[in-house]
Amino acid sequence: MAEIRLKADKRLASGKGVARKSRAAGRVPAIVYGEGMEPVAIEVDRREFVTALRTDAGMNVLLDLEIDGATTLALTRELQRDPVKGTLLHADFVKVDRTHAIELEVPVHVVGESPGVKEGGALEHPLFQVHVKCLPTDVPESIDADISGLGIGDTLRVSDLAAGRDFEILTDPETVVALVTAPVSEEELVAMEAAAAVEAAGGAEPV
Amino acid sequence: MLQPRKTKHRKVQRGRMRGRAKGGSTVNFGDYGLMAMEPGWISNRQIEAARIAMTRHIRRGGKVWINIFPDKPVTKKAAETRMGSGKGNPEGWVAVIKPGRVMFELAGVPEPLAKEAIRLAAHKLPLKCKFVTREQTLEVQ
Repeated sequence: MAEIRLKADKRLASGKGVARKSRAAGRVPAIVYGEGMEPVAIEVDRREFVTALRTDAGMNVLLDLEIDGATTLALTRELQRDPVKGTLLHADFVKVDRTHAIELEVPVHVVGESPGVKEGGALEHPLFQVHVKCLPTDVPESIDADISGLGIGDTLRVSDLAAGRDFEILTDPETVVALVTAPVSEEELVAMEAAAAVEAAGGAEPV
Repeated sequence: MLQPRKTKHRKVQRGRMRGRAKGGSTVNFGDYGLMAMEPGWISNRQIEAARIAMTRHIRRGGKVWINIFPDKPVTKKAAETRMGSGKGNPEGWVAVIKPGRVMFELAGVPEPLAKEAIRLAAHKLPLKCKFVTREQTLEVQ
């Protein structure tokens, strides 16, 4: 996985006023922490950081944080974003060691076409990411969930995912990744609507 | 209709709706969602109307999630009552919604169908809303 160099500056002052000024100047307040170091409050250039996050690795991109001349290898642990505009408000970086395995979430992508869906079934995809343990340099960008063998009523579990040599999947192997459910018949649909109507009428009045 | 099974207090104060959604601002279960763009109260009747509009449009195959719950009792004074004499009687339940909140989610249907279903649902709600996809709610700017 490619590493991206990201220049960071130490933040000398803290508080919401300082943070707002920093955001207005096109920077993102952040913190970096990890084993064997004191947490350091930093700020990074928003544009550079967003570009780094838009690579194929997404959130799991490996960053070379340059803080006051020293380089720290880090991963993004948490992002705070404005829920409406999506602008970055704050980032948490965790220091990692190339030789120590880490645990992180990796996205699962559905690939292939399911014969069950072609027959009219509905594809449900309840699991979007799995917990993975690997070295920071071996983090997979995504894990493919091949649904080409799924007929109506079939399920794909975590144990069916193609595990790589470089990583170990920690999510419970029995967890369902994708399933194809039978289409709802006209009668079932009418029954469901009727049940919903009864439920809607039956609520007690506020006390 | 959705309402709490039991409550600690019969009547509560109205409160303020400042700021943006603290959580529930991403599409977590489905592929598409309906996001609130302004604050407001949504009653259990409105939630039910939106749900019915959505499920009727997608017919079968899709799945709908309701991410909000009307847990706040609202009161109303009786008609032609003079001011004073205490707070009115509980008349219904509402969910307090702040901008950025994903209220409904949808999965298992093609995007154009989901968009239309969500548009119909949005017409049942007293807020400005927008259609969002899972990727949009995770994207950073």
